[in-house]
Amino acid sequence: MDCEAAVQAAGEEDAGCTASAGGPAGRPGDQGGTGDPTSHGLLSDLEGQYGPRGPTSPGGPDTQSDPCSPPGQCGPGAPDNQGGLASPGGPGDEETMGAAAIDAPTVARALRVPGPGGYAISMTAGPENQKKIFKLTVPFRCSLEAEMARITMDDGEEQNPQQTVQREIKIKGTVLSVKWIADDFDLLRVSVGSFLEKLSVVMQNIQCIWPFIPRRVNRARRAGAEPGDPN
Amino acid sequence: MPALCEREEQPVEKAGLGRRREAPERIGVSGADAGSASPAVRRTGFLPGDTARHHRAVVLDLLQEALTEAGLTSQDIDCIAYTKGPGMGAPLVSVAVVARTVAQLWNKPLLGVNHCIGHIEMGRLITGATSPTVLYVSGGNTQVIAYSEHRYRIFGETIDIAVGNCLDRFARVLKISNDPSPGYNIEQMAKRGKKLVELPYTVKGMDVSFSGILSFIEVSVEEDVAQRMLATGECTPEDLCFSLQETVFAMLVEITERAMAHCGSQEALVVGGVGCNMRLQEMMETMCQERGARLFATDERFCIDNGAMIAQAGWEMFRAGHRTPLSESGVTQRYRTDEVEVTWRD
Repeated sequence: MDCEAAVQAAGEEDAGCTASAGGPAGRPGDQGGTGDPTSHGLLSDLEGQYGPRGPTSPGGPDTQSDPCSPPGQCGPGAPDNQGGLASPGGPGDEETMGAAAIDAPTVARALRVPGPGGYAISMTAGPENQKKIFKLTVPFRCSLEAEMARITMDDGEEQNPQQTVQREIKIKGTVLSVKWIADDFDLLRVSVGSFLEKLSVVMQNIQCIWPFIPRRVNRARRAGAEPGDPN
Repeated sequence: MPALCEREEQPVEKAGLGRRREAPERIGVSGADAGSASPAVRRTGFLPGDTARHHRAVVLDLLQEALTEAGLTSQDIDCIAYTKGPGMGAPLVSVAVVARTVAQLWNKPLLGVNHCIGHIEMGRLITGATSPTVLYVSGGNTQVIAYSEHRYRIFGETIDIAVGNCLDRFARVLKISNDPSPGYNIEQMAKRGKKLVELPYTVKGMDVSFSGILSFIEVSVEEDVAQRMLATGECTPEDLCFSLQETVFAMLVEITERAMAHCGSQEALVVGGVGCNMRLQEMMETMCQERGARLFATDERFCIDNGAMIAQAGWEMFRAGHRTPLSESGVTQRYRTDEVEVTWRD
């Protein structure tokens, strides 16, 4: 599965850049390692409950109102990049991309990095006293997964008393959007890198335990209850 | 259906998962527990970043391994318990993230457990001690604890470094191997020591201090005093190890006895990694016998950080009605033992 991330053009107040990432889609079983669902007994448990077919297969579990591509075309992956500079993509490459969009009156020329995914990133240098902004978007298979990731990642860790790094996490549909505002590049780099490392584990965890989306969990989640809350 | 509590333990340098069944004899220390997943440590000690990376790399495999070994599925799990603190921040966060994710995926309640209380509850369960004065000694913590009015009260503690930290750094100065652990190697060498070298003995009321011992040995090395002693045969490395243990353990025994006298306690429980040390247990036993008290101690399976102890504490909390909302499921590096309201005890 690919993990796509794109840096949004920030607008006038935080001019930045546009990046897109993509690569050939992989099947869930291609991931290997801890994310390889075929190596875990949990998959057989889920298959026993919901059938072996994916969420959009006839008769299989589906996400009802959530648009979800057939398995293999999108979903959580394993972002490995830290610090915001994308590396050239390759077949099955799952790297998350982002770029630092820094306060600047103009957008710098984009740097094109060759690769199957056609990445494009750019960085602009702005006045040292301006805030540094980094934005990241990560698509998920369904809004439930995105919400789970948001809840897991949004533990208030970045809200330090000195407010040197601010982070906002939002959900729009099936997309998790994260925005950092920091005083300097080092803090930004550390914060983004740490976030991506943890998000990687979350995505692998979801992929490992939820190769398919159980129908009954979707119904339970709509109520917005805490995990394990019988109400 | 037996009640089970899966637990994720990642206080510092070890990652492990344990399960807790209703019947005490069924408590399992699965192959996925602590001790089987620890980052390689050579010369430098545990670094937070490296430890966090290690935990991220192994935690999902550990989760699957524990469930497979136990023959369980997510439906058999009642709750997810994880270490909320204290400990190093990065490793704590690394696995708290997994605990939050798993709790949501499996729709199970989440419980953030105090690592120190995990040791205490496991020690009580394994040994059968009812209300002991607890000596909790490890690489990161040194506390004398007793239960009173729904809190585990800290009667005494180290005012600087933990006793295990002192042992480890002492071993580093003397270039003693870290394999399998510095404390274990010091213990083995101390058995061959014959001469007691006077080291700083620092007890301040109910508290202890170990930094002076390190300063003494480190300064001594720089000034070649210890090297001169070793070179002239005045003492051997074994003598220094022996002297270190006798000194620090005597300090611990003193403050434990003082707490027992204060509480009128007839039970003492030793927990934590350093609690595996047989010389410490021997000295504590002598003190307890002199007081007409009883000593409880566990073996290395439960002394050292492990998954089952957090499962045990989490299970107690779960039965008492505790729940950790997702919004409060972060970590606390300085999570004090007495911050937890112990509602599962009278």
